[in-house]
Amino acid sequence: MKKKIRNLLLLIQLATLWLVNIQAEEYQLHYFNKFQTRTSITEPGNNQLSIYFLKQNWTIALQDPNSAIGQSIEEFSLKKDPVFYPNPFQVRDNPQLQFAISKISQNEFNNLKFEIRAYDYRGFEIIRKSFFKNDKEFVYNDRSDVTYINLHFEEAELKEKFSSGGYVYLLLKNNDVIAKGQFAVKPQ
Amino acid sequence: MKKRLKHLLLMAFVILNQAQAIPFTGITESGSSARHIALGSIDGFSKGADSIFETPAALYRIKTYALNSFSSSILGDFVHYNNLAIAGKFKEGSWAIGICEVIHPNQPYTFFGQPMAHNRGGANYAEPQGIFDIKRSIIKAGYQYSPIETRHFGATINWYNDNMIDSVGRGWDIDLGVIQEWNNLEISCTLKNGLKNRIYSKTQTYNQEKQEYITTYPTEDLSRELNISAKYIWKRLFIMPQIEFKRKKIMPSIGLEYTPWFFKQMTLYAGSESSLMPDNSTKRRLSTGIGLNLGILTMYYAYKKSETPTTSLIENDQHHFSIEIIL
Repeated sequence: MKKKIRNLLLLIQLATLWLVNIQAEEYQLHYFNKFQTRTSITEPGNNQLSIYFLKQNWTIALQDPNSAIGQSIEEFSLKKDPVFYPNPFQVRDNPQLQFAISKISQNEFNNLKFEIRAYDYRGFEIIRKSFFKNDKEFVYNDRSDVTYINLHFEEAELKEKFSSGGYVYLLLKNNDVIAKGQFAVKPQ
Repeated sequence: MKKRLKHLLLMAFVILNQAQAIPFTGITESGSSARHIALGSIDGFSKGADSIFETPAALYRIKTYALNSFSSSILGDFVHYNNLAIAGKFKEGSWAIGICEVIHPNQPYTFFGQPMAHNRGGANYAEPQGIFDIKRSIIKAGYQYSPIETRHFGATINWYNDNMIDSVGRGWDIDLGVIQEWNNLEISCTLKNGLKNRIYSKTQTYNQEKQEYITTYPTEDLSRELNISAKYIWKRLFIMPQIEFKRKKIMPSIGLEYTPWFFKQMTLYAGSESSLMPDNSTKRRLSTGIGLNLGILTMYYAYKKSETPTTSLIENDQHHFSIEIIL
């Protein structure tokens, strides 16, 4: 009986979601970390959404990702490892580094400073760039449990510095190294 | 056939109309062996087959056959560097062949047009769709001839290969070298990439307006480089200054080699190397190392530091090992 009620509520919930036109991709993203499943392309109405709900406690699933309800302030941590998009890239592609951090206090968020340092295959520093919250290259999206961050690079600042090849980067938060990774630059 | 001809003409048109290309870097600048790195990348005074990566004229030091191997990891496991060279002395002169390879393994692959997770704020988030390796290599074939006992000439032909998922590049050029010996002094002069050729690549580029991938043919310059180095022998100390001319920059370096009187199988090295960055700025770095000779086998170790900050996340100490077999 409980199961039937739960499934009925689930169906109502699905219909409600459809009516309020919340895109499937957003929910997929919202639950990405909980299910530890790779994101893949989904369109509204795709049954992958249903699968996700069946796996998850539906009462939590009801939450709007942008709702203030359920927000909890945490210590700073990386929730999604940084990755360059696209990779490999040409400098004219205006690449960006994408990652997600835990929900931190507004005050801490306002004072955030990220820095990216890139090194060539010899271990020489090629570029060092800082990003502050109010910079136009610092794009963020505040969600109920995580904050997604995109750090953008312009062609002008890259083209004199990079020849084609592989590079290693470090991501620093307020001068502390929090992540490392690599990217590839294609010939121009 | 018509399609191939059309592609060829298109490629020729694009290449001939390009302005000065960006320099191609990323293979031999790391150093040809641990000994070479420890010496501050001073060219021209190797005794082994790795001379082919420095100056082919130095192959005159090989008496019969030589084999050199060098393998190293830089910045943790992000960069793998390997080379192998063999050389032999014959009636008409010395011949050598060597391959040098730099691999950047396990690059995350993301691309325009891939499945994306969208965000209400309008931002997109990409997940890696797989991994790929960057493989760059240079194959060198060289010949050395000595017209008189104290003068040595050498030449190599170099084939460059660059492979990176949807970008493939190829190119070739030549190196020329000469070494002159006096009593306590040797001077080495090498012209690298003497023809100043280019690496021609075929790559996939995303057209933002049409939202589709198109094929482009970018090129990168093989920078011509003139390298003049000297070795002055003062008792058990070898002093090796060097001047490099590259992309209108002058880069001085110096290396020291010392064999202590109490342990002749051991050689100590130190160097100060000047390196050129893609934006034409220069940087200086110190290095040190040790060599241990065990008859036909010599083992080398070199140490230098990367410019990365001290953190547990990445290795900024660089430890290099190489072996040399000389028959």
